[in-house]
Amino acid sequence: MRPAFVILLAVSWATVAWTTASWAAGPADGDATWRPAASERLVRLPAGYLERAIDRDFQGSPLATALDETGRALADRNAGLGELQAAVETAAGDQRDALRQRFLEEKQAYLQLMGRRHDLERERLKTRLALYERLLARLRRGDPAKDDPTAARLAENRQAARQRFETSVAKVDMTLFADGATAESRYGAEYRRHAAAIGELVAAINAHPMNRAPEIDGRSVDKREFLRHLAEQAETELALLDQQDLVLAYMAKLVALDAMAMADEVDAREAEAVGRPETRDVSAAVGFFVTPN
Amino acid sequence: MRPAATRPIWSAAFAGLLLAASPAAAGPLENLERERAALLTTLLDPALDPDGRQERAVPALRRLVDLERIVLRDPHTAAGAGALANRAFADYDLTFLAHASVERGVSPLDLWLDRLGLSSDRLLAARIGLR
Repeated sequence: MRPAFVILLAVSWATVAWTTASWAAGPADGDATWRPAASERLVRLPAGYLERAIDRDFQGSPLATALDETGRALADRNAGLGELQAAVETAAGDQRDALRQRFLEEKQAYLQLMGRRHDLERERLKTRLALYERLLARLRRGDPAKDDPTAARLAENRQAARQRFETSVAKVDMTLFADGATAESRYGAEYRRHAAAIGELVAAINAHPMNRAPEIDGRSVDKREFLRHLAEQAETELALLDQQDLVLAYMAKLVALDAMAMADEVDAREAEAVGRPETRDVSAAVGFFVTPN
Repeated sequence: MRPAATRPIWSAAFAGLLLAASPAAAGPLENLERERAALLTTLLDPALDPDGRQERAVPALRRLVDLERIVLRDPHTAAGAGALANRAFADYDLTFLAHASVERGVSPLDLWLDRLGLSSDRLLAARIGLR
């Protein structure tokens, strides 16, 4: 049984080292990836639907499949660990040693699996964060007035012109078209008809549940602010994941220490069973030397 | 208000300036500029009698009103128009001449000349000379 402990011990320390190193690791698996694109479609989606669309895109990725599989395997191992722990407590003798060894092996496998899950989860969060940042950058590019003073001035002038026009349009209509001498143009008549239809449609769109503005702490926010909020959430989850990695590293260290303790215990017991003589006092052998041959 | 003799000069000058400035691409802003130039040319045309001028100016004014509304209502008007859009939206009275003249209760031509600083008083006070 001793060589098995030595191997287990070595693997346990390797698990500790791997778990610690995995904090800074990149993608867990070359195949388990998620490559979402910050597409025009995504940028144009209503803010309230954006998160759901990203979730749906993720669910169809190999990374989501790998995460699901790891989650299922972890649940199975969790149940197995509970059963093994109960069996160790009731067993005795060699069977107990064998069960303890298996329990240690299972704990080690559980930690490796959990480490892989953390890597996959980290990959998911980093990809999500990068996607939010790309979407925010696209939104910023779509609004040049933010950075360009000329564009900002133009937007301001357009807004002022539009407001002035809205306040004077009725007077212009009255002056130019009310006397009947000048017929309203086809554009004017058609525009009014279309504007009424557009008004109804816009009202329906605004009232549609899928188009409802997202809320943060009960306050409606625009798409940009909502994306920033989602990015903050992803960063928070990444920080918590780092903390969970630390928990995992301590667990791995405990498994290694348990393996060392068990190896020592078995070693001592075997030495006792073999009854190896102990020569503690050299004076006990004096008789062999004082008598002439 | 203005001496009739000055009209041919202004007519030729403004029409030339406006039409020369019109680019070949026909976006809403360019169409607006062209239509406004056509209206001003009609209003300043010395060859037209008052009835003939009125007959041609009314439909031109109606088209100008439509074009001004298209430019004002279209959120994409300014996109890609660059300096033309900057200039256009910087001076509402000159760009949206039809609406601004009704709003101010003056004729389009009077508003146009006024915005360019060409009042009757100033014209009468002007002297011919070399610069």
